[in-house]
Amino acid sequence: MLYSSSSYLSANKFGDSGHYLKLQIRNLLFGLVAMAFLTFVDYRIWKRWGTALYVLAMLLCLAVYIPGLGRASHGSARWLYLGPISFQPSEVAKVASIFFLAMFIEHAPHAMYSVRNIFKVIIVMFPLVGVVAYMNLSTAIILFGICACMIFVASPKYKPFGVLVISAIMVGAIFVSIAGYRMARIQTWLHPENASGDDVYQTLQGLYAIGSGGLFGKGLGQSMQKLGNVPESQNDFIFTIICEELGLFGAICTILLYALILWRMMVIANNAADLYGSLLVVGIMAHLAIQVILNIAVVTNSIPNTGITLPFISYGGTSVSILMAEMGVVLGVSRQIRLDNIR
Amino acid sequence: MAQQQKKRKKRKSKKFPLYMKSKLVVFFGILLACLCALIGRIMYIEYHNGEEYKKLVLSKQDYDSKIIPYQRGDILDTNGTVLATSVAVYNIILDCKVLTSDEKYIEPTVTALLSCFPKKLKEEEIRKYIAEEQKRAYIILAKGLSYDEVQKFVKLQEEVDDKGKKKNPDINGVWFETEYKRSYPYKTLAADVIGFTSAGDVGTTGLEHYYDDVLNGINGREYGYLNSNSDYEKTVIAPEDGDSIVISIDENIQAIVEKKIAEFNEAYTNNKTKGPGAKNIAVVMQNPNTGEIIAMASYPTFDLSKPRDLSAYYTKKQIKKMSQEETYAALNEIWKNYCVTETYEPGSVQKPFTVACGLETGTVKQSDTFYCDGYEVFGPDKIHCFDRSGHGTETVEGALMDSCNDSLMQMSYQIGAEKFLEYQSIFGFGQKTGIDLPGEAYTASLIYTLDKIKPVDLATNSFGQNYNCTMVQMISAFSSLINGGTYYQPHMLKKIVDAKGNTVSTYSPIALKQTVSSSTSALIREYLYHTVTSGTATSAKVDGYSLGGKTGTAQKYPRAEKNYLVSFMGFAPYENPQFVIYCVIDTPNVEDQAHSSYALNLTREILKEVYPYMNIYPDEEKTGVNEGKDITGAVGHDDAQLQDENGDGSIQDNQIPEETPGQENQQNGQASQDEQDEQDDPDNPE
Repeated sequence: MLYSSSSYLSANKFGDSGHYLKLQIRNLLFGLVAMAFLTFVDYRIWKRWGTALYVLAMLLCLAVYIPGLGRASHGSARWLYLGPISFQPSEVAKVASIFFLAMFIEHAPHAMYSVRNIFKVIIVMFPLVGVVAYMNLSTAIILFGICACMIFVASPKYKPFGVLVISAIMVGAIFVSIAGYRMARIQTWLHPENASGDDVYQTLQGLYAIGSGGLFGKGLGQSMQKLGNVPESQNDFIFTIICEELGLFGAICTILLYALILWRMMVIANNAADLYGSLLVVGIMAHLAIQVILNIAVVTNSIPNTGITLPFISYGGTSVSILMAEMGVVLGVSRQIRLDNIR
Repeated sequence: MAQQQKKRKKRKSKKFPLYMKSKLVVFFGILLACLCALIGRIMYIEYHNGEEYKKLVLSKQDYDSKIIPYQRGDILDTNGTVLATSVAVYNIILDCKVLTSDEKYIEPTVTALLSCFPKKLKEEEIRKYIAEEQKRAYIILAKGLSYDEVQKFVKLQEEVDDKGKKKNPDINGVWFETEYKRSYPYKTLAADVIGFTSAGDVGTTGLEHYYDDVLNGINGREYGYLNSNSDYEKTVIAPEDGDSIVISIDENIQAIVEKKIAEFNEAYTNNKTKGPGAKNIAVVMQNPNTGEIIAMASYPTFDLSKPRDLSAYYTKKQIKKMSQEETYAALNEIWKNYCVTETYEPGSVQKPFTVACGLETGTVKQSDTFYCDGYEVFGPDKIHCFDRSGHGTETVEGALMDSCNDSLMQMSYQIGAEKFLEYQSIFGFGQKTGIDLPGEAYTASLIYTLDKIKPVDLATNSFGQNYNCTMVQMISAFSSLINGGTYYQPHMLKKIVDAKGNTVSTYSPIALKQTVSSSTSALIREYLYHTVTSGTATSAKVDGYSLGGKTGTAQKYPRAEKNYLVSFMGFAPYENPQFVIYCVIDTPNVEDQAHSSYALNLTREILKEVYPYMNIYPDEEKTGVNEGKDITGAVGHDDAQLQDENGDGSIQDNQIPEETPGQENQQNGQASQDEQDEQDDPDNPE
């Protein structure tokens, strides 16, 4: 899929239709190694490193602003260059917060009974979310969502979360109005046909791609919209190309695949050997689910355009490596399940 | 140790509490709900805006990208002569945007255009575009110009002086778009076989249709789009040209055959009644050792360069009067390939097959004799031999040489229905041959099955009446009969060659089955050789060349109309056959149709020219047979008199009793070839 949607662009830019595919395969291999490693390492040793990871992620995120190390892409500084390796620290921040929160909650699960303590957790998380939010709102939303989901699961209460959802929307609105380029995206969302510019172009072309796919699509490799019409067709908007080439059928299958993965994660979390493992899996599950839902919501113009990739399918080295690593953790947790633990 | 540690840990570690589990399930439920909502959203977009967006996408593509046409592959004859090809033609495109971008371009360009294409272009028109359509980058000024026509302008545009500078730098905004047009250099040659294309590159009939996928290539594309910086970017994907096919038809032999068919037709046009020389005339030549078709021609035919032109067969008035359906019917009549799509009762050409079947199954022995008293009786019906007084005692060979119906009927009793039908099937009657041409007739319902056949049917089948076949079926079966018994699938394709001339694949002959033993085959060859030297087929012989063969004179249905289909099936040279020729003349335009001599004369005239071309040398003493005869069989151009050649053995073979009720009924199901349509007769002959 990635090959299909990126071949045109990369053939244009690099003279090799497999350019993106090769890079992605390299990243995928790296991710696979990480996954295998994490599957066979007992996840419990990470408990000790939770705080350290949190601090590290924080530092990395701040490092983006150090001239010479950070680099801008798509209007916001998101990339960190350390020697030959470049990556998005915000991706690391997601993992860090999952590990950190899992540790934090596991330490005193009963604390989650009270709203006051829940706010405490949020305050603890705020520095990281804040730093990330300043440079990249969408990642911040994901981070915030992951935290919210983990706490939601850990707490027996329901009411505060309703309040939280509403306040989250408000916080989002405030951030949007602060940064100019985000406002433009909102405008685009509300009136895609009337607005002009790159953003609306991307959204509209994505919609065209989805709409023109039909029930079974135009066939693999037959997309017309990928031929320069949908910007970033190999990246954020890859789902539109799936819709166009594989049709409604392919799109639903893709979504069902994600649902299947999420379901398996739920089963693993419910049967994990200990609370820490369960919480880790819940966090990763939240991460995956939020990205999938937000991405598809964006390309279908259900919510404003933000740069969120589709897990596993989109092009993006850091993203796929991290996700594979997370899968490794989930598998590691699942490996520790003993039959006698299942009740 | 590690185990212990783990255990300790487990005891110490907290478990995932129940309330969290239920919360997790709720969480998952919310996720599922979100996913479902998204699926709903996609469906909504798909159904609500799908059509509209689809159109938008397509229209965008048309606007921003251009198709670069591929070149359809050629059709070449066995020697590489081009029978069908695609030639490039050019459209003059005016890019008004470029032209009007600078005032100084306009005058020189318009002058150049008008001087190079004075007939195709009008000055007012161009001026109007320049004045009113300055934003249009694509205006077709003229279509379908040849390479030579365009060259004058291209030269003018690219002329350079001594210093290498362009002489006319101000001619701008005009370019030529390439298109391909199908062209058939030999026009009518093998028209039924080659077929033509319509609506661009859609093969409509013949090989053009059958090998459409091979011949067609893939269009290239020139994509243009505005990137995120609103710059125009362009990429070109080159087109893939189609492959060419080399077929087994030999253009020279085909031309000889068609020339002789035309000659024959001319000789008998407006003879008995006003109209063509025969309803259909068709000739197939096959290489018996490979199954390759060397020539395949039929009359009426048409001009491939203007396939919808009926003026050769109808007056202008008639064409005008035709309804749409009538026009299509008339067109289909000339487009059809008689040799493949039409079925008919073959007549006595069947006799060698009956004899071979008898010899193979041991039911008829070489030494058997039969007594011909002129007829056989089936209940109330009498089926006559053509010689109503009877041939007297006949040997097996004699029965073939004299084409004696009575003897053949008696043989069929000895063979029996079961074995006879088994061999019909072995010889491929009732089955498609699988030749690589479209529209092959399906004849399964036009032959008898064991549960339906009655003695009288078996008897008439034995001399080729009461069942239908196609020419390809007959010639392919006959080839196996005389080549030693190997049945080759008849075919046209020899190889596929790509656009650069490299061979993609080669077709090797497919031997499908062994029909008869080589000894039976040798016997039949001998019998048929004698049939030509001293039997009923003498007229087909070219003096000095060995030839074997069998005549056929089939009475057509309805019998009362006394219409006949006369034919000759021959092979040469006798010892080592290089070709088989099958001539069929359907309803010759003559007073007395029941003479195979028409087919024999046509065959002889064709062979006269084919032998030297095929490098077959005279292998016999000259005897002066058939000397000086022309295509009508007359000696010394005595055209007016159509000779009855009973004298040298050519006779009317079959005399099926007229108006025999039982017979009539069977015909209903079996032989309605007067209706030219597809064979959808009920398979119940009763």
